[in-house]
Amino acid sequence: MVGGGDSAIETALALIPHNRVTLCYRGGEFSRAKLGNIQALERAAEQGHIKVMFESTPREIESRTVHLDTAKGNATLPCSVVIARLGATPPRPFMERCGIRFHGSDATALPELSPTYESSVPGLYIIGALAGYPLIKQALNQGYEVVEAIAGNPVPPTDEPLLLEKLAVAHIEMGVDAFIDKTRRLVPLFAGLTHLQMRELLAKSRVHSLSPGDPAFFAGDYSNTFWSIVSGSMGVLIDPKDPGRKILLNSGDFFGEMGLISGRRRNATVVADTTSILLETDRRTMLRLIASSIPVQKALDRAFIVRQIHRMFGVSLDDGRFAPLLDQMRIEHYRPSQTIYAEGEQGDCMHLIRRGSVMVDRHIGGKSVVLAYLQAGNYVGEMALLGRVPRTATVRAAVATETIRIDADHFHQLAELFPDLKRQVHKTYQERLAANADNRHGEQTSDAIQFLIAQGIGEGTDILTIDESLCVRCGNCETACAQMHGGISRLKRDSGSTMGNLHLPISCRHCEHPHCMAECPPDAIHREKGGEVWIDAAQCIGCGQCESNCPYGVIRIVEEAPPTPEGFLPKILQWGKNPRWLWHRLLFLQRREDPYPEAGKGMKGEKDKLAVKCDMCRNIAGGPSCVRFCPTGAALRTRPETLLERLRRTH
Amino acid sequence: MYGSILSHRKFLHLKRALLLTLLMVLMASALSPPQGLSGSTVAGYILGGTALLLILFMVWFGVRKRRIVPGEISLSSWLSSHIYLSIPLATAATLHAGLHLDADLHGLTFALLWLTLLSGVVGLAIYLRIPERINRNREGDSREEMVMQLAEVERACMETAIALPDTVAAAVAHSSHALAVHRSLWRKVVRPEKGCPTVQAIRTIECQSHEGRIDPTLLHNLLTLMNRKLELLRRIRTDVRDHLLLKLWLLIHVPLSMGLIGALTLHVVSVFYFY
Repeated sequence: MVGGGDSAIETALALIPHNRVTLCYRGGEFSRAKLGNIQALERAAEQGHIKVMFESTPREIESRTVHLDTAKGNATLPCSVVIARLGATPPRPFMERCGIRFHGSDATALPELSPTYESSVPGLYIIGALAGYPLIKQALNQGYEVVEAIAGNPVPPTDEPLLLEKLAVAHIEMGVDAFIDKTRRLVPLFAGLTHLQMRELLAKSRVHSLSPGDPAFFAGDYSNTFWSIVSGSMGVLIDPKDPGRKILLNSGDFFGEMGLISGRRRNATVVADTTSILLETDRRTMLRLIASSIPVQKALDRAFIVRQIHRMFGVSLDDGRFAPLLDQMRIEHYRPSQTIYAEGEQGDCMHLIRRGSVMVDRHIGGKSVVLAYLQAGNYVGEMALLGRVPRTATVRAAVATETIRIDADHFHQLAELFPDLKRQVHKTYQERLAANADNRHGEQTSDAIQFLIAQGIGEGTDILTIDESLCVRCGNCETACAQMHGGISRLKRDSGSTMGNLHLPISCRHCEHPHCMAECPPDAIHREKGGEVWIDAAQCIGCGQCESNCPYGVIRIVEEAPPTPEGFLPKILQWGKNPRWLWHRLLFLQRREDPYPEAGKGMKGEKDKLAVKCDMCRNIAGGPSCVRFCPTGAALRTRPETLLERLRRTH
Repeated sequence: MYGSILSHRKFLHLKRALLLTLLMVLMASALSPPQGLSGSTVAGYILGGTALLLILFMVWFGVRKRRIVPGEISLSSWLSSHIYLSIPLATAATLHAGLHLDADLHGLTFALLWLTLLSGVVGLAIYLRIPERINRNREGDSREEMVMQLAEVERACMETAIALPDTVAAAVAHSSHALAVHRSLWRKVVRPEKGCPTVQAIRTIECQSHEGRIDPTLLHNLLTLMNRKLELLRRIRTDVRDHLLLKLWLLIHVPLSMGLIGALTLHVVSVFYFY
């Protein structure tokens, strides 16, 4: 057995009764496995049922022997089977050395597979996490399919009935394979996908059959699914008041990529123009597809640039003659706090922010003062193109940011063709000149903005802040949160950072691109149309992936709290069991919820663990309870733009 | 930044409360009999009834705060009206009593009402002043961070003192073993620095320095560290006291209002039973 994680240990223990097992692990001690597994393994090793070799790795496998590199030198063991449990992160270099080809060079790209999971090396099959299917149930089903395929009795894929049901819901009387072939034929974006990739896409999508007038989504929704039109046509409403003004999208087109890439609200309503069949694909599947298929990535980027320019300047470049120009517009990626351009430089381009946000600052009196904070959907750097002056300010990425770079040449070419574009950019230029001249925000606001950006609110869509000069530390926010969420508060009032009177407690900011959603194995984290990111307790397996992915520490893994008793008498009886509570009630003190109810409970009941975080009281009338039940109005949930605007006004 | 509880919704609750007060004064002066206002006149009954309703409404805030349910509830709006309704309540009750106080149940009810109101005013003053002070005192640190710094400084003090005469080392060690905050609730709030062993240790060190037998650089370092410790202690004690103040006044206000409800019930029952 090669590996030192839970799977390696559990498999090794399961093999003991009928085999002589040696477990070899490259580490010096087990650090990733659960305590229970480690203890069981140690017991088995003490009793001589298994041999454990630390700091050792297999160097070569021969027929019936395996050669190991160990801390004490080389070792050779007699061996009939080697099982390597290498973890859920695909070890790509190893797989490439085996001769397996991948879709693209991206780190997340998946191996090329046949419909029966055979890799580019004949006879070598890949299933489960290595093939891009993170759940055990998928691996089990695929393993069964592969074994049957090898044995010459191919079985229909396990997801066949599920996919058929998806088609039936949309009243499509067609087999799954036929529908997949049709979609690949009609939607150019998916033409390059393999049959397996298309099955996966369909499994993660909803099939819609819309009648004329039916909406796909509304402007202002926070949904971030991706829509492709298999047949029919859809209208994008430009003016919400005038349904007549619309852009038509036809079979093979797609929409919704703006929300997918920028993570912001939908900027237009889309309704069916004729009877249409559509595929609505969830964000994560699309991101994986983009990462694993370069043509898909290119097509989406192109569409994004064309539509962003159309939305910003009312200029349509969706025409073959602009293709060379569009090919030259590049998408640039910036890390948080990386400089996009610096004050005083000679500018030769402007940037349309397509994802993330930027801070504009300028040196005033020897100190850098923040002039503005701009989010995706805005542009910067136009002054240098119009005024032909050096950059008047420094622009830095506030969070991971992507921009579309438009060089001076391309801008002037476009401006020749579309005088409107130039007029519009000129107007923004003059407005910004005036705003810069009238910079009364002062250093205090600038410091506050820098503090907030340093805390990562640039990523957020809705942020809980507490005005410490009003907060009377009653803890009602936490109590209200706990009572609305089965006894477990998702907020830690005291924690977090403070600047002046502005306190940012550790509470979810509902990021534009939620880090927690990125790698949730059972896809249990969802985003509501209003922007709330929430964890479905019924789906959560308590693995803790989201907890470790969240850079702001707002997710906790807890055991399910016992239900609070209903009714007067049971409550009194419950207080009687805990004298401290009783005294709290008698003295009218607010009962503080235990912030770590899971502490000190050890392994027992581990399987009931759940990830919890703020869901902005999404199903609770009146909205966030922490805000509703703050007696002094110190707690406020706002969008970052609103918060910064409020800061400007106060100072 | 977000506006005080007093200016909630552009002083909406103040305006309402003042309007109610004005209405009651006008009503009382219009209906006032020639022999003067008292509880047993028409105006007196109206005023007493209004005051009773106001008290019940204001006490309901305590329930509202603790009963956490879904719905369009803004607790800050409730608190704002809870505060301002004390104006019409004080006016109505005083007019209802006919500016008159006897040493009986009715007088007790009236006195309890005023005590409750005054404790509320004290609470309001605490709520308006203390949060900002807590924040200034913390200088961006949490209490845990202050305690960590204290432990750090204490360690440095001990390391410096070990090389100095036994009297100094013993004084520093004694001050390190002592509790930073008094056990007694009273001392936590009133002069929490009284009997502080760190102050005594500093005095001991200063006495030694006058005798001039110790390395002055070491002594200076120790004194600097000890004073830094004293400053941290002051901040921690202030933090503990301020947090307590935010809660302690409720231990007076809430029992008083419960007492008021009791006295009020007896007052109403006795009035209708005996007269």
